[in-house]
Amino acid sequence: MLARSNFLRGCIRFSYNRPAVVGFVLLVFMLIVAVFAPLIAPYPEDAGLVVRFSDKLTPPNPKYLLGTDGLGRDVLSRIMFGIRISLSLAGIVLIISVPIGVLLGICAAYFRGGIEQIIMRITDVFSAIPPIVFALVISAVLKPSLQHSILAIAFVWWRGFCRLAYGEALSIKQEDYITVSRSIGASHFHLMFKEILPNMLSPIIVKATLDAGYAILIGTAISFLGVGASPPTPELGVMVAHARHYLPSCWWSSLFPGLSIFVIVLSFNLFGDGLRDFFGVEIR
Amino acid sequence: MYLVKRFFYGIFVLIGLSILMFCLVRVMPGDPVRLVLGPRATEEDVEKLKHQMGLDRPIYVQYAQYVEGIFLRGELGMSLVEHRDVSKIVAEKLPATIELIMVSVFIAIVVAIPLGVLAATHRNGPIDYLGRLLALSGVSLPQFWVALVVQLILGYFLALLPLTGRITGPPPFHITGLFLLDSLLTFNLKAFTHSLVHILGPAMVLSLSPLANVTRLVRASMIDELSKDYALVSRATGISDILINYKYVLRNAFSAALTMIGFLIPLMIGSAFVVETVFAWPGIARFGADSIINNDFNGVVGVALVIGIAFVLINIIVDALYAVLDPRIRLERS
Amino acid sequence: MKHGEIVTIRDLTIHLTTIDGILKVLDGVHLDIREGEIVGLVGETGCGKSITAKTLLGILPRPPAQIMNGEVYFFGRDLLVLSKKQREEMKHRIGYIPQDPMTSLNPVFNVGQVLVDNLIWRMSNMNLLIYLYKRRSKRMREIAEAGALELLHKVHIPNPRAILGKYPVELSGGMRQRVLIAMALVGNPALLVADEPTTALDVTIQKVILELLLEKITEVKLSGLYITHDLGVARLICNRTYVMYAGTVVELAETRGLLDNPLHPYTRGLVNSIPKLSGVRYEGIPGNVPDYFNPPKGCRFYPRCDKRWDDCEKERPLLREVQEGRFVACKLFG
Repeated sequence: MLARSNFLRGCIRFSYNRPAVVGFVLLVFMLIVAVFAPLIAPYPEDAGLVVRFSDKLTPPNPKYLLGTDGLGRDVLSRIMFGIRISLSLAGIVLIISVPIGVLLGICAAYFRGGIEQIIMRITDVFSAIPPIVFALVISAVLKPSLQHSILAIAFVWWRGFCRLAYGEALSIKQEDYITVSRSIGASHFHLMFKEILPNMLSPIIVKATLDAGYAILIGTAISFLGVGASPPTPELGVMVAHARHYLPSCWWSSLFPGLSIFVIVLSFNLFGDGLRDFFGVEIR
Repeated sequence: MYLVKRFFYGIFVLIGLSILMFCLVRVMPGDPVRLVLGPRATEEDVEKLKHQMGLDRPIYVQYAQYVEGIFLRGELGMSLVEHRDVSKIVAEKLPATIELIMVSVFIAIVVAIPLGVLAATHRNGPIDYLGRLLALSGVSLPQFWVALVVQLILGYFLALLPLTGRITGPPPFHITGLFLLDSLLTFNLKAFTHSLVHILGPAMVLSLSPLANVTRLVRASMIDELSKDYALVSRATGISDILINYKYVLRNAFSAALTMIGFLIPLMIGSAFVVETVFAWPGIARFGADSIINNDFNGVVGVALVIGIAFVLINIIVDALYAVLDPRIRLERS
Repeated sequence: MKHGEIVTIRDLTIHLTTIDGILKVLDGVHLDIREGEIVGLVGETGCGKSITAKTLLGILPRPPAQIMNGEVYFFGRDLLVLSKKQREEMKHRIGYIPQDPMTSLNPVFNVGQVLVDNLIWRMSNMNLLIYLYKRRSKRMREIAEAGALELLHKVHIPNPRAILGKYPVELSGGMRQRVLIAMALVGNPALLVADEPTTALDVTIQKVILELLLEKITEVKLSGLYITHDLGVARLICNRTYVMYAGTVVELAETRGLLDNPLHPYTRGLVNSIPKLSGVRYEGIPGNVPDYFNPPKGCRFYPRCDKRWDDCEKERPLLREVQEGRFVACKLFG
């Protein structure tokens, strides 16, 4: 009962934050686009190897709503597939890095001593380099491709969650109910995952949401530099890079992909902000 | 002493980093040696070059040689792309990136602090909305795209700023390598204006992200501090609001912003990779991006190390500044 | 505005906007402070004492708080209709002694800096530019420092010169409170507003601070508004005392008479709640804390009063003089 009313109260708090609601709506919209891209896109085959030289570089018109790129492909359709790729990237990165990072963080905080030192020092080493640089290097090491860039980002991303989980777990550990549980003889596993973890879920969820946007920024930047997805994949960063050659006259083929990246990341950020209100929690 | 401990800790991190990068890079697929020698190279040539570069030795020997090279000769290995020692390349290109980052941070701070303070004191007013809009955009916009847009609009359509490069015409006499500083020191007005105009575009783009973050943070910290008792007491004494905000309250709110700035600079280095590429800025970030694309592993490791060192140094400086700003930290230690 | 009155508050009604609704924190408050007298303001936590004081001091945070009605005359001028600048000028005649010495001092400045700033500001005629100029002048700083030392001496701080350089974190609670009193005395104010200045201190220090306050007040015949929830302290310091409940004034009388013979049911309840040494069990006041979101239309004490009638719920009793100098807001008395 209490959980349900907390949820409702959180929803009310969330709804007060109008930008957050906008973000939520946008995100849902993006998800729908991403999932149904092959069905809704006007020219779904343009996401692949289609080449239509006759129609190349047409400005936005009724036939091609956002214009065509240098190979005559419909920008709108490609963007739709690009959204799909970016959202999947965010999803995969998070699915990999969050559990690993959180697990390591909790272990470090719980067991203290040697384990803590090892884990946190490794985290520090990984933190000494900005994520984009690291991801660039690893992408290059693994031979540039979309999948590899996703893995590269995931490889770097766990450190943020490890730090967060570590900090949260440390302070939750001090709480009385943990001491009580421990004195009754609860097992390590129980303490870590049934007592400590549920209490730090909210900051983790908020960070994951905000990080999703940031990961997408890095992913597109990697592809832009040429170390990630490669043509003809309709990845948004690749599209901007490809269109760069046709600037300044054919602005639509680079403007719209970039704009879509902005909208995706913006909606994650707005939604994440709103989630903070939803949980009503002070994120440390 | 506290700072000394941090210093050694930083060294430790650097060592770990260097090992990590070293191993990673040696694992790169594709044979860079073959790339250097070209498609005509024979098996023999390849082996010879490999032997020359010590690449046929086991990896820990290679690492030992590498470290030895750094400390004894200041060498970071041979760049496969430019055929000279990476340390020379770094020395040459580093000032460009440092200058870019410095100007960007300057812009970010100069704009963000008043914006944050005003947003906090005039909550829900137009400035607050502008500040929040800016902050949101700064963290959501893809930097490479903004770079292109800025380049396009300011450089091409409005022809206000040059498109690429660091300067048109001869650079000023080399004292520090920072064009703006050098031209001022040598009273070279022409070089100064040229450098300034060239650096504005990339600096504006690079400053967007820290600007966004700092504004947000300053605003949040100020709102927090303004509701505290000492702020009320200050207001009761009738002192001007401006003074209160900027001197008394900001001092307290700023420490959080300071740590954030220290944290943001490495992120800016990351963003510099794309910004320098778009604006053809001759800094080490661009060199790093090129090295990665060209599988120039020495170049990559060299750049990564430099970034790591910068990170450690910045952390130490930020810690020291923190102690200066907040006497409580100083006193608690003694 | 009668002659000899420094402060006249009439019909002050204030609403506070929060996320959960509008709190009607003050409703028709009347208050007078005459020259040379100490007026006490007692009531439980949250009854509106601090808000009244803050309105007088001009530090009420206005966006969440809204002044719906009323007049606040200070030296003959209504603070609520004055321009911001004029209000700031009036602040010079009031000194504020806040409640919590831990949080009321700016942690990043030392005692000397704060006092000197305050003194120089007074000497700058409320002008920011003049202040900035004078702050830099060595002579001004020396004058201000001498003034600061004198103030510290006035509050009986031993070795004031050493204290000038100390930060709040280095001082004890009693010491900090003395510094706050010194700050309040800057510029020789005509009115002191003390908001429960001893609540946060140990009992032994409380006594010392109280005596200090009494001494300073009688020294220069200051007027004062003393807020407290401790009736014993009110008896010691205040000439007349107002009793507030749920944002309304329920009783006003000369302190001794008020406490020896309380008229209003709430006051009676308060007085009876004081534990007595004679071993008789003391009674509390039944009922819950008042609801500020939907206060009763009539008397706000109605829900907890044991002497109430139906009339009390419908109409608000006004503060009426029932005996010489004794005012009560209760239907029991007319």
